Amino acid sequence: MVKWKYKFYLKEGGHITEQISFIHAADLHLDSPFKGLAHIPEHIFKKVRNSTFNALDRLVQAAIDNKVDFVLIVGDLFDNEKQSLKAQVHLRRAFEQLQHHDINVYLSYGNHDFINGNIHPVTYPDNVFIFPNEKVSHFTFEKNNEICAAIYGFSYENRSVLSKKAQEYQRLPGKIPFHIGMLHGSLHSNTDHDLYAPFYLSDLTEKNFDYWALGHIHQREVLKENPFIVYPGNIQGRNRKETGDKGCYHVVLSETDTAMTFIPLHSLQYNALTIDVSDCDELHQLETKIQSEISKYTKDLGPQLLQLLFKSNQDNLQNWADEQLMDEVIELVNETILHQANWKYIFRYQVERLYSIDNELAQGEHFVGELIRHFDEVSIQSYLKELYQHKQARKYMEPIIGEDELRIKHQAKHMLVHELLKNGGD
Amino acid sequence: MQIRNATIYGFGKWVDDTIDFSAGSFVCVYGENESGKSTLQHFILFMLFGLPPKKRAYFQPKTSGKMGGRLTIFDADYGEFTIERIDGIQNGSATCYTADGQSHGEDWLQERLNGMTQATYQSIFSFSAADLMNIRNMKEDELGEVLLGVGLTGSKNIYAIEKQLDNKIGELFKPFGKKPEINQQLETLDDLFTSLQSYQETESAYRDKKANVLAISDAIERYQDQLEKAKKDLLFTEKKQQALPIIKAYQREKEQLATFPADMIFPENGVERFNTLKEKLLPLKSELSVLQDNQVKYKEKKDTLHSSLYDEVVYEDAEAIIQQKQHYLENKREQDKQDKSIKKMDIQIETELDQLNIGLTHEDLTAINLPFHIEKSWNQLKNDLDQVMLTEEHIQQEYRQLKKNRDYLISQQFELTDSLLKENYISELSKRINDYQHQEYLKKAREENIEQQKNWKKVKEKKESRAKLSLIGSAVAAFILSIFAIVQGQPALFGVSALILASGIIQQVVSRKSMRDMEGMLQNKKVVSDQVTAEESSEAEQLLEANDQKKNDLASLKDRLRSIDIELLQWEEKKNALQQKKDRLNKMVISQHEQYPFLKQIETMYWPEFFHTLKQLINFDRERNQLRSQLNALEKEITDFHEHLTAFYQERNWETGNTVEEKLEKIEDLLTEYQSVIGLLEQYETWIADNVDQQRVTKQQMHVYEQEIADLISFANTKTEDDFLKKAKQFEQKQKHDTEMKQLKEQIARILQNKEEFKALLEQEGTQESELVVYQEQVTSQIEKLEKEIDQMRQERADIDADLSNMESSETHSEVLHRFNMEQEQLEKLAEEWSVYKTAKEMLVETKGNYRDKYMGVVIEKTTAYFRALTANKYIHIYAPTTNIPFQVESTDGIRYQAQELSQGTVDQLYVSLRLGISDVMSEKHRLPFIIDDAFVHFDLNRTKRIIRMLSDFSRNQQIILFTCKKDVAEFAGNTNVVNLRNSVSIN
Repeated sequence: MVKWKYKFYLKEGGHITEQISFIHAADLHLDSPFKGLAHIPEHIFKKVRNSTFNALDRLVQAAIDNKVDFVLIVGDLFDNEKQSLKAQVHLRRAFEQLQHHDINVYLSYGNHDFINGNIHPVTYPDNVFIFPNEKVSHFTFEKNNEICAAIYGFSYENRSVLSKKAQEYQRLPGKIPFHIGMLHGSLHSNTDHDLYAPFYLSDLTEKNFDYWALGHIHQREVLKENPFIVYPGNIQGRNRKETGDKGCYHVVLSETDTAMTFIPLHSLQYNALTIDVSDCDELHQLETKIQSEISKYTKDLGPQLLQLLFKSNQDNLQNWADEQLMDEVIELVNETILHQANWKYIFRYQVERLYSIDNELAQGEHFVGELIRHFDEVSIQSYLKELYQHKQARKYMEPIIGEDELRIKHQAKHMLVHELLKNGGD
Repeated sequence: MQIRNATIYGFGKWVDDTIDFSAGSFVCVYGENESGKSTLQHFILFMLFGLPPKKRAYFQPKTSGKMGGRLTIFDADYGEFTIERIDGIQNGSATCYTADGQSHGEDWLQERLNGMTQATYQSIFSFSAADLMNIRNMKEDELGEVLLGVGLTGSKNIYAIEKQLDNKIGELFKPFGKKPEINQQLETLDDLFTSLQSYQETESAYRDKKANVLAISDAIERYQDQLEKAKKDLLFTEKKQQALPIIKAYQREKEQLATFPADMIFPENGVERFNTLKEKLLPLKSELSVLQDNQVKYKEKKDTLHSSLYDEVVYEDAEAIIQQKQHYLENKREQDKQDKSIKKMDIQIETELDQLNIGLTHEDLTAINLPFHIEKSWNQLKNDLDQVMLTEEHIQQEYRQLKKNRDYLISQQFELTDSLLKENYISELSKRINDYQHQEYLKKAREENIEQQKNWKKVKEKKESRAKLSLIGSAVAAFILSIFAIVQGQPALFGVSALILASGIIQQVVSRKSMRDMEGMLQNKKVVSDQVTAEESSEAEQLLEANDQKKNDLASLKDRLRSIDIELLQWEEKKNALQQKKDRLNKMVISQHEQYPFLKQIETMYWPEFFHTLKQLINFDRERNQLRSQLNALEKEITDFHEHLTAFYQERNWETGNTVEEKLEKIEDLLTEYQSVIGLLEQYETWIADNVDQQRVTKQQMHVYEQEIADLISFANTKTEDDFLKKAKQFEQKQKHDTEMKQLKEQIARILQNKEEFKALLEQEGTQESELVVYQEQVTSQIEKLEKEIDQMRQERADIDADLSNMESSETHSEVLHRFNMEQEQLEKLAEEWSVYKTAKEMLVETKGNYRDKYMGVVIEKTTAYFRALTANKYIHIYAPTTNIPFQVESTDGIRYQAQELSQGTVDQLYVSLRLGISDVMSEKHRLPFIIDDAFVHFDLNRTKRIIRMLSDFSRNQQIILFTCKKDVAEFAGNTNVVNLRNSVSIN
C-alpha cells in the first residue's frame, strides 16, 4: 500500500477546517473478457468472469467503510464492444448501494464506453452525476449546504477524442475550496496506448486544480505530486501484462494537505514468476521445484494467474521445452494448486534460451547455416494464409504481424535447429 | 588442415600416450576390437570441439587423475599450432599455442574451424559402418531423400523432421477437414458465436422493452388522470343530487328577503338593549325621590336639638369642676390617712418613753441633741469596763491555782523522803549480787575439764597399743636377725638384733611414763563453795533499782517548787496595773453623767442599747412633725374646692343644700347630656352630606342611561321610543330570513366543498333531478371502463418488468461472452502453434530447395567421379532425385537404375561416393580431416583395394584418418601410413 502525503501552504482566504474525501477509480472494464486465458478450468473460469464485479463490490465497500464524500470514476466502466447488460445492471446496483450511504458518484465515459456506443439504456440512481458530453463541464459538490468542491470533466461521445481536452478546463470563479479535474486520456509522450485526449503535464498544472483524476492507463502511476496528477490504474488485472495489486485511491483533500491511500480491489492477480531450474537434472524434479517456488512466491497473496519463465544453465530444459515435455508437468502442477482456497493457475510459461543460435552456426555453409539465413530473409505471411485467411477462421483471428510474427519465426527456427542437430553426435 | 600429433594426458583407457599422425595425409589407424579406436576418435573430437562436463566425466580415466591432452594441428594459413584441453582447467576449454609463441582461446579455435560444430563435423567429415546400416533400415523409397539429407546437412533428420511437421500440421488444421483441432475449435466458436449473437439480440430487446415500459407507464398515468377526473365528476353529481332540495329552500328564502328594504339600519340587539336601559333607569328615579325626602327630615331634627342647649361657657365651667373632682377626692383620702398616721405615731412615742422610764417626756425629746461621736464613746466605755472586770476575775483565778499547786508539791516532797532505803541495807544487797556472779563462772570451768579427760583416755589407749606393737616388732626382728646370724654364721648381726630389741624396750618405757603425767594433770581440777541462788540475786537487783528511781523523783519535785514561787511574784505585779485602769474609767463615766443627766438612771453597760432606742425615738418625733405640716396644706386645698363649687351653684341659682358628692354628680349629668346632643347633631350633619352626594351620583347614572336610550333611538333613524320599537319588530323578521338562508347555504357548502362548484350551483336555476340521474349513470360506466384498462396495462407492464428483471439478472450472455472469448484465445493459441509448425516446415522445404540448388550440381559431379572410380566405370552417371524419382544411376550401357534397384554393395558404394563428394565440396572451405570408422567391412577385397586407393588419392586434398580393425585394410593402406594400436602405440 502506498501512502502519499504532501503539505502546502494555505491558499488565500482558505478555511482551514475544510476537508473532503473521495475514491478515485478508473477503467473498471466490467464484464470484459480476459486476454490470454485459453482453456482454464471451469471454477477458475467462473472466478475470472466475476472478478471485475467483485472488484467493483470492493470499491463500493471501500467507499462506505471510509465514509467518503463521493466516488470519481474516470471512464471505461465497461466495454461497448463486448457489452453485457449485466455490467451496467451491476453498476446500477453498486450505485444504489452508495446512494443508501449518501455517497455521490461522478463519472465520465471513456473510449471503451463512449456514449454513442452504449446500447443499454440503464438508468442510474440520482446520486450518480454523469458528464453528459464531450464539452468540459462541471458539477459542484455540497457539504452542509455549502459548495465545497467543483468537479470538472467530459465524456467520450464517440470512440476517440483526439483534441487536447486538457486545455478546455477552466477553474470556476468564486471561493470554492477544492477543484478536481477528471480526465480520461494519456500523456503526449505515451506511445504504448491509443493516444486519446493528449495532454502535457504543464497543461494540467497551470490550471491550479487541487487534484487531477486521470483514467485510461491501466498501470497505476502518480505523475506529479503538487498538485496530485494520478492514474489509479484499473481495478482488476485482465491480462498478463497487468500484474500485481490493482485498485483505487482513497484521497483526503484538505486545505493544507493531501493524503492518498491505495486500496487494492482485485479478487485475483496476474503475476509473472521466473524459476531457475538449474538444479533439476530430470524432468520429474521439475514438478516439485515449480510447486515449491510457487508456494514460496505466493505465500501471502490471494488467487493468482501465473506466468512462469524457466531458466537453467543446463541443456536439458531446452530439450524438454523443444520436445514439449513441459506441458504435462505444468498440467500436473496446476492440478494441485488450482484447488486450494487461494488458488493459483499457471496459464502460460516460457523457457529462457541459454544460448541463441550463434553467429558461427548462421555463417556456416552447411544446411543449418543456410536455414538460419533463410529465416532471417523471408517473411512468413504467405505460409500462414492457409489458416488466417480461411473463410471460417479469419473472423475469429487477428492477423499475425510484428512481434507475434517474430516470435513464431523464432520458435520455428529453434525447433528446426534443435531437431536437425539433436542426434548429430551419435 | 591436418592433425599431426595427439598427446593424451588421460582420456578413457588412454593415459599418457602420444600418437603421431604426421606420416602422411592418409593415415590408417589399425587396432583390434577394444583397442581404443573409438576412444581415440572421441579424443580428437574433444580436442577440436570440447565436451560438456558430463561427457568429460564419462571419459575420466580409471587409472589416472588427469583428463585431457594436446592435439597438434597444421593449418595452411596459420602453420602448426597445438590445442590443449584439460578437464578442470577453465571448464575444459581450449588453449591454442601457435608457433610464434602466442596462446589463444576457444573463440580463436572456433574461427579456425569456420563455425563448424561437432555435430556438423560428424555429419560431413565422418562416417561409419553404422551409418550404412541405418540406410539399409530406411524405406527404400526414401533412400534418395535420406542420401540427400545426410549429404546436405550432415544429418539424416531433414526428411523425418519434415514428415513430423507435416503430421503435426495435419493434426492441427486442414482447410477442409473436420477432425483437426483447429477445425473443431472453429466449429465450437461458430456455435458460441451463434448463441452469442442470439443473446445479444435478446439483450438488445432490452432497450425496446424498456421503451415499452415507459410508454405503458405514460399511458397508465394518462388514464389515471382521466379516471380521477371522472370520479370527481361522479362525486359532484351525487352531491348535487343530495343538495338539490336544500337549494330550492334557499332560493325561496332569498325571494322573501327581497321584500325588505335592502339597507335597513337598526342597532345590534336594539330592543334588548333599550329594555335593559329602561329597567336600569326606573329604580334610580325612585331612589332619588327618597333621598330628597330624607334631606328635609334631617334638617328639622337638627334645628330642634340646637334650641335645647345652655350657653357654651356654662359647660366649660362645669367641665373645669369635674376635672378637679378627682384631685379633690384624692386630697380627701390623703387627709384621713395622714391624720391617722400622726395619731398612731404619738401613741408609739409615748409608749416607748414609758417603757424607758427615765423621766423623759415627749417634749424633752425635741431638745435632746446627740452628736455623731457619742455612740462610739459610749461603746468604748462599756467595752473597757467589761475588759477590766474580766481581767480582774482572771487574776483571782490564777492566784488560786498557784496556791493549790504549791501545797501539793510540798506534801509530795515529804512522802518521798520517808520512803528511801537505809544505807547499810543497800551495801548488803550489792555483795549478794557479786557472789552470785563468781559462783556462775566456776561452774562453767568444771564442765570443760570433764571433756578433756574423756579425750585423753582415747589417746592413751592408742599410744599403749603402738608401744606394744613396736616392742613385738623389734623382738621379732631381733629374733630373725639372730637366726640369720646363726645360719650365716655372722656374729655381727647379733649385735644389730640386740640393738633393735633394746630400742623396742626403751620406746615402751617412755610412752608409759608420758601417759602417767598426763593423767595426773587432768584429775587435779575439783572446787567446793557456799551456794547463792538466782532468785535472791535478781530480787536484790530490783530493790536497788527502785531506790535509785525514788532519789531522782525527789530532785525534780524540788525544781518545780522553785518555779511556782517565781510565778507568784509575777501575779502581784499584774494586780496593781489593773487597779489603776479601773480608776481612770470611773472618772470618764462621771463626766458623761454630768452631760446627760438621764444616764444616771442607766447602768453603763446598757448605754449602747439605750443610745439606739433614744436615737430612734428622736427620728420618729421628727417624722411626725413633718406629717403634721403636710396635713395642714391638704386641708387648705379642700376648702378652696368647696368654695368654687358653691359659687357655681349660686351662679345657676341651683339649690346648694346637697352634699359635695351630689353636687358633683349633678354637674356630671349635665355634661353627659350635653355630649349626647352634640353627637346627634354631628350625625345629622353627616347624613345630610351623604344624602347630597347620593343624589348627585344617582343623577349622573340616570343621565348615562338616558343618553344611551337617546343614541339607540337616533341610530335606528327614529324619533320616539314607539317608532323605535316598531322598527325593531320589522328588523327582526328580516334577520330571521337571513339566518335561514345562511343555514341553508352552510348545509349546501357542507355537501359541496368546492367553492366554484358551489357558487355555480347556487346561481344555476332549474336543475332537474332526472337530468342528474342520467348523468351519474354515464360517468359510472366511464369509470368502470377506465379502471379495467388501467388494470390491463399494469398487468402488461408487470410482465415486461419481470422480463427485464430476468434479463438483468441473467448471467448467460456474460458467460457465453467470456466463454467465446476464451475459446477464441484457445483458437489463437492453436493457430500460433500451427503457425510455428507451418513456418518450420515451409522454411525447411524452401531451404532444402535452395541448398540443393546451390550444391547439388557440384556434389553430383564429384559423387559421380568417385562412384565411377569405385565401380570401375561400371556406372558412369548419377542423377539427383527429383520430386518423384529418387537417386538414379546410369550404367555404361546407358540403362538407368533407381537406387532401390541396386545391390546392397552398390548402394554402399554410392553412399561412400556421395559422402566423399559432399566432403569434397565442403572441404574447399573447411578442409578438416576426414575420419572414417571401418565403413568398408562389407566390401570385398577388390572393392576395398579400390576404395583405399581412392581415399589415398583423395587425401592429397584432405587428410583422411581411417580407423579399422581389419588387417587387410591396414595392409592395403600401405605400411608407411599405418598406426598400429595393438600394443599400445607403435609407429614404424
